[in-house]
Amino acid sequence: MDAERSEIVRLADASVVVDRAGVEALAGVDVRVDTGERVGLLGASGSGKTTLIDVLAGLRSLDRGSVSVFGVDPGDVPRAERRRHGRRIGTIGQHLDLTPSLRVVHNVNAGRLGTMSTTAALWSLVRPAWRDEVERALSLVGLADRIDAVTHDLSGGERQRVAVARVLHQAPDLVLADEPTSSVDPELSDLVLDRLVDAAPTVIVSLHDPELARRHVDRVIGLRSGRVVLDRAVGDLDDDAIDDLYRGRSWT
Amino acid sequence: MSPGARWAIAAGAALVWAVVRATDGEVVNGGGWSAFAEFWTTIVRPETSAEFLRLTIDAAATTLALAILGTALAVAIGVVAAPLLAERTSPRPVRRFVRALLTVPRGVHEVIWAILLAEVLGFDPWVGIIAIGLPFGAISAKVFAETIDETDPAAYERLRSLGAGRLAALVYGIVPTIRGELTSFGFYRLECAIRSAAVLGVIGVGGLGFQLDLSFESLRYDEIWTLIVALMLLSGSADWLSGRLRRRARDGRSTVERERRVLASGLAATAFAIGASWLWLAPDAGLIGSERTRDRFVGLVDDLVPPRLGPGGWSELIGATVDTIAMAVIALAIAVSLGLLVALRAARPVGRTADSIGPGSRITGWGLRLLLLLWRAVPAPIWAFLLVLVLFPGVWPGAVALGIYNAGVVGRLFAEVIEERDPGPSDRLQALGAPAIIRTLYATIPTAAGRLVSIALYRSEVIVRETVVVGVVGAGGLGQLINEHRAARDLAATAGAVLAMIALAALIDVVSARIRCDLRPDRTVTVRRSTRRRRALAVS
Repeated sequence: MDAERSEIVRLADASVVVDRAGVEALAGVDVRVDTGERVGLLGASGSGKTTLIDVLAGLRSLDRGSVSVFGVDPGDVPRAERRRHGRRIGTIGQHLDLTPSLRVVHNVNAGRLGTMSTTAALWSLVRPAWRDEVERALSLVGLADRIDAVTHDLSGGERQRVAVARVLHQAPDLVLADEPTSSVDPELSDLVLDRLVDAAPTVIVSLHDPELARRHVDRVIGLRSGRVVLDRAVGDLDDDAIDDLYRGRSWT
Repeated sequence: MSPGARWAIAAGAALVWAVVRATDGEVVNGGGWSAFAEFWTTIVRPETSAEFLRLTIDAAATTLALAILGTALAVAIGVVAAPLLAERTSPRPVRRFVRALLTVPRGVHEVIWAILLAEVLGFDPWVGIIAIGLPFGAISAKVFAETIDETDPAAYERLRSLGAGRLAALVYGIVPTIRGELTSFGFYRLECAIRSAAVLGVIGVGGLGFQLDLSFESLRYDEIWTLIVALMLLSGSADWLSGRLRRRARDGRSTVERERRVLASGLAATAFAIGASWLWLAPDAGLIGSERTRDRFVGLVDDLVPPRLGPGGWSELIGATVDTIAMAVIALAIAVSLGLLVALRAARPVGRTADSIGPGSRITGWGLRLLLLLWRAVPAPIWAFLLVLVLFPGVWPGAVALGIYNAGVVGRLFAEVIEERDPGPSDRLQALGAPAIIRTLYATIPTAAGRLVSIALYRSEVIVRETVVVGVVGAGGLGQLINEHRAARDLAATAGAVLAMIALAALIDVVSARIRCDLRPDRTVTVRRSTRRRRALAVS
């Protein structure tokens, strides 16, 4: 297969400065992700996982280096391309970014706003579009019975599952997820992650637990202080590498 | 010296200057005391003939209908303009253009709009509706836009990133979150619109204000009291409703079923209120687009432009402007001190004092809340008419009238702030055995001080614009000048005086923004926080 065609994500010397003192959340990251890869991002808190996901989602811009997703800079997508680019990427942020006062069905439907006309989007608030499909997406994460609940009445873990259902409903080409199961009950985490890594051909997901990475992704990228310190297939991941990754915590 | 102390000294100096400026010759007119006293003693025997009660109810319906349609227009303008005005949702050139477009309707008081509109539309209800709807619409747009900008943008940005258009992302990501705030602000506007409709009545738009004016001219104090009671009922129930909604929006949280029910009945009630108001007022639907209106509009613009000085020249205009400043300063001082004094006792007790409250102080509280309602329910020009009985025409009666009216508005807001403050400090002092006065000075006022000051500052912006209202009845300043020029059919000079008014209002806005900025505890905080306060307190 042609290497150029299968490249989905490319970061070169990607750096993000977080404060005036010049502290970097990302310090020269070089990463390439191809079609069909399921990548897990690991690292202690503050290692740059969230920043990396935000950069790929176009929610944060780089101070140095370059980034491309589907061949364009996500922070600077040409106006005409924006919708088409956006609908190909399903994202789950650490703060979920659901609208708390909307009902679950609308929050899930919002995943398809990139494909709906404005009129259809407004009408859908009166009579939800794709109700059956929304229900199916919710049942995949075990929430079919909460379809009509108001989102702020849900627990933190349930809201994370709604966010996953939204991505399933969107059916994107690339999933970018930031600790999507941090509040989900441990026994459900595996189910939710299984669904999520099947939601798109290519998936990049940051995880708080290396064990989850072992079970659900096939490539692991480890970050420490904004640098890539580990990048290998999950089969080659040994305990020493993991210990090494988390060693540089703040108390040392 | 702290910025707070500097501004306090400046405020004191301004007040002394204003009092000296206003006191030009004799102030108190001893001859009118008997009439003044008669007015107050008539309170016990208002006019209750069936005929007059009918008239009162009709007039109240007109005032209410004007307020409802004016508010509906304002909310419509606000909803359309807000997304174009918000930083989050609007590209910069559009934003700038809309902001510039809305400065004029916002800077000009309803009364001036009504005067100008009457030139074009004659005496159709449209005059009142548009005169309320335009400036209120501009304010609503600004407040709605600020609300949009202050809402957590995460959901909006996320939806934009997955390809949603601006409008769809706004409706899914932000509107549901701010729905409650928007509704309660709409009701707050209705409450202001009722007072505003009453004021417009005095200058001839109809309704309770108009009847008040007629009864005043024939010195029928008994009729006046009947009308005042009607105004208090109207204004009081709108205040109660909007206060309730505001509290509910703040406490938030409700079930889907309930939310649906509330939404459906709310929509039905709104549609009914608008429809009924329309039928009652029966504005001439074809009037707005008619040829005659267009011709008159062109004629009016011709007359207004270019604005010029009146026959008195610059000295007249500057003198009137300075008088207006003096009037506003005195009015603000009266409103704030009187409002605070009453609010401290009118506020429902919170914390530990709430447990030990006796029936006596409960009744006092009710009485004082009623007094605040009386002050704000009676339009400022009516207070001015009344004061002219005992004060010689000039700055003083206008200032006192505005002061009393605004004390009613500010006092209610103050009372709300005092009720919502943290009762902890006051409770601790009570546990130490401190008497009420000490608790007030050392705990209640300091705890609420920040919000009290910001209410006062925003009121100062409003009061400057409101000087027009009492000026129209001859209380001096730019308002009187505007009225004189208009009476002389010198519209270009009227426009000149209106421009001076806009400039003065803009100047006061800048000064008060500056004071706010200096007094902010943490000055590195950006405009955000102050705009949040502005929304909470935005006042007509």
